[in-house]
Amino acid sequence: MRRLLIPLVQIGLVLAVLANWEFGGYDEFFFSKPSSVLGRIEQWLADGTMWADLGVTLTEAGLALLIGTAAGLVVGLALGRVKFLGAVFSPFIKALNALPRVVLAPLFLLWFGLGVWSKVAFGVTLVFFVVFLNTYQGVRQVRRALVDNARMLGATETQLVRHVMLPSALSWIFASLHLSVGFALVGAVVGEYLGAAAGMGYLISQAQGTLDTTGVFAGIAVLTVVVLLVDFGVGLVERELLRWKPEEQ
Amino acid sequence: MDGVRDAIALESVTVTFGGGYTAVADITFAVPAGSFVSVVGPTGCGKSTVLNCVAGLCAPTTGQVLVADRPLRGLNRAAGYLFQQDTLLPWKSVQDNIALGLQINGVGQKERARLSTEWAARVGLEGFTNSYPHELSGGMRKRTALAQVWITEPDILLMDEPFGALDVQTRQIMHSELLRLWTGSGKTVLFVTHDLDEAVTLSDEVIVLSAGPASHVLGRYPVGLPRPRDPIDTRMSTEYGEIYQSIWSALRAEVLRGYA
Ligand SMILES: Nc1ncnc2c1ncn2[C@@H]1O[C@H](COP(=O)(O)OP(=O)(O)O)[C@@H](O)[C@H]1O
Ligand SMILES: [Mg+2]
Repeated sequence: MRRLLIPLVQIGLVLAVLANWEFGGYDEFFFSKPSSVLGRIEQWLADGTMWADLGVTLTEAGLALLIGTAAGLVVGLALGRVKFLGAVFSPFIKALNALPRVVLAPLFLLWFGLGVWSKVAFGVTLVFFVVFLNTYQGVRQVRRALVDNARMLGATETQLVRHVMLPSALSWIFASLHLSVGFALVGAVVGEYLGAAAGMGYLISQAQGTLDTTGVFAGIAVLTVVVLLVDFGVGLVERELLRWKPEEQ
Repeated sequence: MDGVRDAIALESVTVTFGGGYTAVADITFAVPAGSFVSVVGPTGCGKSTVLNCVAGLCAPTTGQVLVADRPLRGLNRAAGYLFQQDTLLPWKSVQDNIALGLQINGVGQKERARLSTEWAARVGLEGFTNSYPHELSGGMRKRTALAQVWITEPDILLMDEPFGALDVQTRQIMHSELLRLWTGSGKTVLFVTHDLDEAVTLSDEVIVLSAGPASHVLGRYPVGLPRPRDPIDTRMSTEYGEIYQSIWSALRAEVLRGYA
């Protein structure tokens, strides 16, 4: 009964908010209407303009995710495994992580131009720290006995990383991946919003420039759906790779 | 190890930890090649520390460990170590856990599968080869770990309270299985336990450590019970009772001292 009730109430809430928004008599100039937003998305889909922009944004986010994750993994493993490096560098990394990353966006625009790479660079600064911190933590929390056992069985440092460290850090890394995917998209969209010639952020900033509230809302809606879809995909991969984990109650 | 009389020898081994705590002091004993020797002592006296020294995971502060008459430097490559803690990798299946040492040492996929299937059967885990460790009982996990160590065929086996966490019935079954595996294998076993019963049942010799700090060897007791042994029958014999009593009288004082 409860299991059925909760989704019903949830759907009811969404419908109520949408209905209120549609028929509540709000100023359309500022708030638009669900039907107009849906119409705009249909129009974007029909004339195909949205796909190009979405493609640009996803490319930027994908590259940021790839580069940021790879860098975070490598640095996290190195600082987690080599005590000296960890002691020397972790204060610097913590300091850099404390920096509000948005202030870097103008710099990246100057350095890398209006194209894809300034957004990628911005996304990397967001993704890197999430993955790094989780990998670093994951590697350092591996039980001593697991490492000793593998060493007694003859494991080299590389084999330790492959058989013990990485799999052990994997659940942390996946938890962080959900966050990283969001950050990579935020990086791309915010970067585009600040200066670009294509992408969903550019689309939204164009709509804002022409006082087109419907366009802004449509852009937001599309991005939300994309994030949910990507997150679902990450969840599927996670379930497959973490099959060995006991079910949590 | 032909021609070597002692597989392992500890010479005045003392271990003082970073904080200045001396766990064991001036430990000297030898383990003849091919024999089964147990180390007993109250909990916390330094049994694991001694085993870690023999494994090469911990370097003695003073004194040295000889393996096949040569001073040990770094890890003891002749030894397999069955740890007190659970050391199975949770993300590997029983079969892959058993085969871990083979995989690390570059044994090919086919040979690995063949040997690990064989070993899974030998420790009574056929039918569980595709299970993950969290799906197994404590006894099955220990058997997996035992197979993981044994499959690499080390000359020396170091076992640290391997059956300490198991219930009495499972433990007795494991004793029989261990003796069955060891008999005729020619392997040297150094077995650590706080359970005197287990030590006498399995060993050729029992070494008793005093309570810490600075634990030392209180006595060495040969166990002349006939082999091959059946653990249950062995415990029924009068000789067993006599040996047990003589060691227990030494150990009891130490256990009490540990509580004082
Ligand atoms: N790395 C360490 N640093 C400091 N003290 C330790 C360390 N390892 C063990 N000890 C101490 O040394 C003593 C012996 O430990 P251990 O060898 O594990 O005992 P046992 O295996 O006999 O129970 C204990 O008092 C323990 O607290
Ligand atoms: Mg111990």
